[in-house]
Formats: sequence, C-alpha cells, structure tokens
Amino acid sequence: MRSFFILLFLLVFTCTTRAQKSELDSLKNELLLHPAEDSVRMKILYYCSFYYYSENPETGLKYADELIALAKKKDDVFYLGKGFFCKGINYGSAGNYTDALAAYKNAKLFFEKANVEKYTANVNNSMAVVYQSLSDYPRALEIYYNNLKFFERLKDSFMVALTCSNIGLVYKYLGQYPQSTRYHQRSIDIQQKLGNLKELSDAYNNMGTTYQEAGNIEKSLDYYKQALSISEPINYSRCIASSITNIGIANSLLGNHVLAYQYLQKALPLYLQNGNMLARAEIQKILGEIYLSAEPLFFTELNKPISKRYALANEYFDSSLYLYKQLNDIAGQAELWKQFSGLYETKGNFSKALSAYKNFATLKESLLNDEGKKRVTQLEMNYSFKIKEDSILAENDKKSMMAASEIKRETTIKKSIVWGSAIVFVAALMSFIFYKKRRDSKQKQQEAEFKSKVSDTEMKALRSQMNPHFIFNSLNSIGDYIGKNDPLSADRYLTKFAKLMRLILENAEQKEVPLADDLKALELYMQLEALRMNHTFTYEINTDESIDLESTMVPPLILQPFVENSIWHGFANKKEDGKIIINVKRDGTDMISCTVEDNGVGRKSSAFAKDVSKIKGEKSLGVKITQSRIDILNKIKNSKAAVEFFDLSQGLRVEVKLPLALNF
Amino acid sequence: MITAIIIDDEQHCIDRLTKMLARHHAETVQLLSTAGSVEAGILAIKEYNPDLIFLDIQILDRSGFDLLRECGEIKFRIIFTTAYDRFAIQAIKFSAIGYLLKPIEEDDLVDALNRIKEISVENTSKMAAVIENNLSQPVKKKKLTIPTGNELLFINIDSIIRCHSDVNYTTIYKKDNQKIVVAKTLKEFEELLADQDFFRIHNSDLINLAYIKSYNKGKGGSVVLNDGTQLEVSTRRKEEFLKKMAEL
Repeated sequence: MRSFFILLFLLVFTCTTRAQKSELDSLKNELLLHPAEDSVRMKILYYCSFYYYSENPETGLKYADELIALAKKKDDVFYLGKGFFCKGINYGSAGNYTDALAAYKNAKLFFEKANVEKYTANVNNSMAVVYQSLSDYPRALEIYYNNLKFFERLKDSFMVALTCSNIGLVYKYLGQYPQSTRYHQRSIDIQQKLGNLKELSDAYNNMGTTYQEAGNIEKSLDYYKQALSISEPINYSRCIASSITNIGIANSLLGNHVLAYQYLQKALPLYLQNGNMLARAEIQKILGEIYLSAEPLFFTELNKPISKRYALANEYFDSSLYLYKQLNDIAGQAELWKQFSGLYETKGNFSKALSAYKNFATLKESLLNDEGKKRVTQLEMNYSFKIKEDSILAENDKKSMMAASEIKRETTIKKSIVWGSAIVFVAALMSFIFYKKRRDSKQKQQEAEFKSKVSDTEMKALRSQMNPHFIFNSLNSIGDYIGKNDPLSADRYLTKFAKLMRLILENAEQKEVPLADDLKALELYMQLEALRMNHTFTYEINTDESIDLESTMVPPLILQPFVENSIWHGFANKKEDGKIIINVKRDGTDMISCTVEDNGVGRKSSAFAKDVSKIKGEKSLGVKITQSRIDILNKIKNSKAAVEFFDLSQGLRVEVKLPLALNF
Repeated sequence: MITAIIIDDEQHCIDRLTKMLARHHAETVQLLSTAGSVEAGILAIKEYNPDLIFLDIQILDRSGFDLLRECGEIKFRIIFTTAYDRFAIQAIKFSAIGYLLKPIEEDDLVDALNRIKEISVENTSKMAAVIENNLSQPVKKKKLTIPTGNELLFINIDSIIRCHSDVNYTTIYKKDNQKIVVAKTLKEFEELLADQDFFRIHNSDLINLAYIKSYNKGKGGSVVLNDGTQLEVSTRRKEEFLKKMAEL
C-alpha cells in the first residue's frame, strides 16, 4: 500500500498547490495587457511559466523561453536565472530530467552572477528533487546537506527546517529510519519555536510516514492525529485532507477496517474540492481493498450487506481505475488490474481474471521499461557529469567576458548608431548560440533515449535466450531421466545444461563475442534439445573457410531464436529425421550471412495454420527481439544487417545478414 | 594408484564426485576420506597424507585458499572444484592449478586427472605459492605460472613486455631479454591478463601497456616499446587502444 503524505520539497516561492484555472486566466490576461517589454512583463511571464508547470509543462516552457529571450534583450541576469529556473521546473514536471538538470545548471550560473545566493540555494534544492526522482538519493542528500549549512549560516531557521524535512524524507526512502526521524524532529522543533502552524502540521505528517514505513503504525497514528489537531483550527485544508487520509491508511494497516473506512470516506470529498485526482484514485483503491478483506463484523457495523462485498469493491476499483487512466498513471493502473484479477478469481470468473492479469502484466512490462529508461538516464548523467561540468565552467568564462563587453556597449549605445547595429549583431549571435545549445540538448536527449533502447533490447534479448520455457523443459527432462532410473543420462544432460548456462551468462555480458564461442553455445543448445527429443533431429554446422572464427565478432546468440523455432514449431509434429543446417559464410566484402535451415513443417503448412494463435505469439516475439537488436546494430554501425525468411518446399530457411566485424 | 581426499562443505557435491570416481576411476583413484570444513580437511590431510585433494573454494565461511595457507607444507596435488566464482577462478588460472566446474562433467574430470600425473608435488606447492602471493600482493605484483615443455616457470607479470602469437604457440618476451615459448594460444593470455593493463593491439601481439615508449600516429599507428620493438596497431583496435591509454 502506498502511503500518502505531503511532499515538502518546497521552493521559497511556496507554490506547490496546483494553480487554479482562474489564476492562470487572469495571469494570461495581464500578459495581454502588458505588451511592453519591461520588467513587469518579465515578472508576469515568470509567474505564467511557474504556474503552468503542474498544468501543462509544454506551455510553461514556452513562457520560460519567452522570458529568457526578453531577459537577454534587457541583459537582466536575475531574470535570465529565473527563466532557466522555470525551464528546469517545467522539464522536471514533464519527466525530462536530463534537460531539467541542464536548465538548472544555467539558472545557477546566472543567479550566481546576479549575486542572489538564496536563489542559488533554491535551484540546488530543485536539482536535489530531480536526483530524488531518479532515485539518486546520495546526490540529493549531498545537495540538501550543503543547503542546510548555507541556511544555517544565514540563520534562516525557516529554511533550515524545510531542508531538514527534505533530508528526513530522503532518509526514509533509503530506509534509514532513525536518521529520518532525527531530522524530522529537528524540523518539528524549529517550526514549533517559530510558531508556524502550517509547516508544523506538515512536519508531523512527514514524521508519521517515517514511522509507518518503519512499521511502527501506532506511533505514526499519534503523529497524524497531532497534525490533524493543529491543521483543523487554522483551516489548513491540504494538511487536513492528508492527515485524515493517513489516519485512514494507518488504521487499515492495523486491521481497524471500520475506522479506516470512516476516515477515508471523510477524506474523499476534501480532495474533490481541491481537485487532487491521484489522492482520490489512491483512496478509492484502498476502500475497495477494505471491502475485499474486511471481516463480517465490518459489514454489520456499517449496515451493509456482506453479499454485496464484491460488487462494492468492484465499484471502487472501477472509479479508481478511471482516475488512474485520466492521470496516465501506469503503476496505479497495473496495481488495480492485479486487484481485479484477484477479485474475479475469488468470484470464480477465471477468464475475466486471466484477462485482467494480462492487462496487469502488460502494464508492468511497460513500467519496467520506464524504470530501465530512468536508470539509463541516471547512468548517462553520472557518466557525463564531469564532462558537462567542465564545459559549463568554460562557458561560464566565455559568458562573463561577453557580459562585460555588453555592458560597455550599452553605455555608448545612445551616442552612436554604429554601436547600435553592433548590438543587433551580438543579439543575433546570442540567439544563434542559444539555438545551437537547444539543438545540442535535444540531440543529447535523443542520444540518451537511444542508449536506453539499446540496453532495454539487450535485456530482453537476454531474457529470451534464457527462455524460461527452455530452462524448465530442461529441468523436466532431467527429472524424467531420474524417474526412469537413468541417472547416467540425467547426469549427462545436467552437465551439458550447466555448461550452456555458464556460456550464456558469460556471453550475455558482451556486446559481441567471437563467432567460435557463439557457435559453441548454439551447438550445446542443439545437443541438449536433441537429447531431450530422443535424437529425432540432427544438426550440422558449416562454416566457410574464408571466415576466421576466432576474430570474427557477432552479437551473442542472434541465431538461437530461429533454431528454437525450428525445433519447437518446425519439428513439432515430426517424429524423426528432422534436420537443422546452419551455414555461416562471407557475403561480399563486408557482410557475413548466417542461415538456419530446417526440413520441418514450414510456415504455410496446415499444422502451422491450425495452431497459428499459439505459434504466432512466440514466433513473433523471438523475431521481434532479433529484429530490434539488428536495428540497433544498424544504427550503431551504419550497416545493412537484415533478417529474411525463405519458404522451402519442405521447411524454412532464415537468413541473417550481419556486418562483418573483425576484432583485429 | 592415486590416493585422494575430497574437501567440500556440501554433502551432495561430495557424494556426486565420490560416485564418479567409483564408477570410472576405481582403478586409478582411491578415495581415502572426505571432509566438510577447512579444519576437518587439515586434520584429514595430516592423517591420510593423500596424493591428491579435491578442494572446494567456498567452504562454509572460509575458503580453500585458507586451507592451503594453514595446512603446512604442501605434499599433495590439488584439483579445485567450484560452481561459479569469477574471482577465485581467475586466481586459480594464474597459478595453473587444475580446476573443475560444478556440476562436474565426466570428460573434464578425465582431463584433470590426466593432467595431474604430469605435475610434481614440488611444483604444486610453488603453484599454491603463486595463489597466496596474488591474493596478498597488490595488482601490479602478481605472478603467473607458465607451463613450458618440461618445467613450470613462475614469473612476475610486470616483467612481461609482450606476447607474440604463432598459431597455437605464444612467445613471451620478458624484461630481462628472456624468451619463453608456451603451448597456449594468445587468446588465453589475453583473457588472463585483461585486467592487468595488457592490450591486444593486433591479431598476433599482446603488449604490456606499462612498457610503451611512444606511439606513432598513422592509419592504425604503431607503438615503440621500451625494448625497442616497433609493433603495428590494428586499425580496428586503434580507438579502443587510445581510450585505454588515456585511462592509464
């Protein structure tokens, strides 16, 4: 169960609540009324961009760009910083972390130049939030600690308290609960002394979540109740809603279903008021879960018919799913489909349960891909961190030189028209530089995405090589031999199987392996399958003499899926005389051609057609993965690798053409 | 007849090997005892004084290397057995002591037993010393056991300037102008020395990067080593070579 709490990743601008539509409209109006390119317009642009980050980051980015352009023109370093800061927030909100960090770094440069240390600290804070989203907690902590020192020096206890809260949250994610409670306590103490009731109630809630995560539900309840008792008299609606929700969740964790139900029901309308869909989705999911698991007494106490248990749960899950869909929250949807699957199963509706589970699996898969993408972005960032920093430093020097010369020009602009045209030239140059920078960052993003695709495909390729089907069938064969009292065959099979696994594990770490090694693995695989199938098929591997098996490199096990298809589908109904021929030869000067040929049923046969639904799924998966590995290969090497199928009079031939890659 | 002891903390591993020995090697190997811990192993060695021990690497919370260190003078031959332990296997490879990967395959066991016959007890103790040295010394001071036609050589890795391939043989060029011809492929040495700042610049040349005097740009370019040899760098290896050089 996800716990719910108030995020205190606040900026000094203290605007975490969603801006109301009306506010945005009035801002837009003001912008129209203020076409003059002055500091007032910059201020409005800033607020527009800032407020849009939660609504529509794309629009927010547009305003930020306009603000940057205007600030450039006015040579206002402070607003340049604010512009980039907004850019960062909007990028971050859109999940584009690489660009967000780049923008924040620019913002920092300008704030430093404008000598507004406090704003620099805020940017640092925002960067830490990004690192946190990327699960890079150590780096986030480092930044928070630096900020803490900075605010301590300024004796700004309010910011010290907020920073302590953030540190407490990070420690909670890291599972270091004693540390987490220590920092939350410090935050509580300060806010108490300052008499900031709003922030104090937030801090109590945060402390509660740490105890909840740590498993001390009773204590977390105390803190939530304290938060509620403080926020209610001052009508601090956001905290009232989360305290009530948290109390509900804690009670449901304790098994107090009636109390949990009552609190959560009370929380729902509060979120309806402030439009927090995520909270509503979350609460309705939990309510559904309560209906599913509650004891009979629960229903008598609430005066609800227990016979309607599933129908009621279903209702809540339905509306929760609807909200998650609106929010585009994949994790939430996946979680719900899992619940649905369990619900249908208990109701005995297995086909519905299965289809719900399929939905869950698909969503989970895409979620894993996203996770991978995130991880790659993080790795990429770590990797280029130093380089980027260096180049930014260099640019900083360049920029400060430019700024100095520009200031000089401004003093003379009134005197001479010649100077004016020079300024125009510089402006053009600057916009060119910015255009180029934007283009570069876009390119970088594409690069990161491409890299993530590479790793993703590699992961999938590995998974398909270690096809669970194959592993379990092998284990099954071994068990079969043992059952038949043939320990010698079992042993022979087992050692070969172990050897193949070892080879696959070793090769999988490599992007490319010597052809000799790969053919060895393929041969082992075929040996195993031949043993398992009682030698109903034989195989042959022919390699052309013009190929040096040791120094020719190929992607590991690229042929395996096709061999697997031959054995599993081609020979599915064949009782004997199956034959697989693998040929590897040179193709022209810079390609090698690998073919897998079988004398099985082929693609068109009736048997194939009959069983098409089953075959299609598996077949297309192996082929799809190989195809995307080959696409990536082509992109990296700028080559023309390809897979082609040829139907034979009996059987199928698959030809894989790869670029000739020599190690030396 | 070879007398042997199996030292392994997992009984099923002992059982399996015992069966394999009884089934196919009853005439050549006589199993005297088995032991399930380092301490029991040391006692068994003292008691039975075997010709050969099958030694697992991970034994409870200790290692087979600990046993070798503590059992006093090594008067037996060794075959290591392990399931999957990169670090340990790498250490064993440096020493050239035989090893078997679990689950053990019959053919591999036959090979290992044949090889044992050619190795003297005296050399085994030197090979074990290589392991001990490599585990305790920093990376640069590692040693390597090299089996040549009639003897074993124990050399410091940092004394190797380069290795040159001659089909199935490899010639090792040392700092002291000594040349050693080994019946191993260059690929084996490349794999062995991959972490030791050796680099294969060409199909037939593996060099110790520490001995590079200069690099001449060209299509692939060429390197001049401290001993004056000039070697060509393959065009395909150039990029990776320069990257590796930059890392040093």
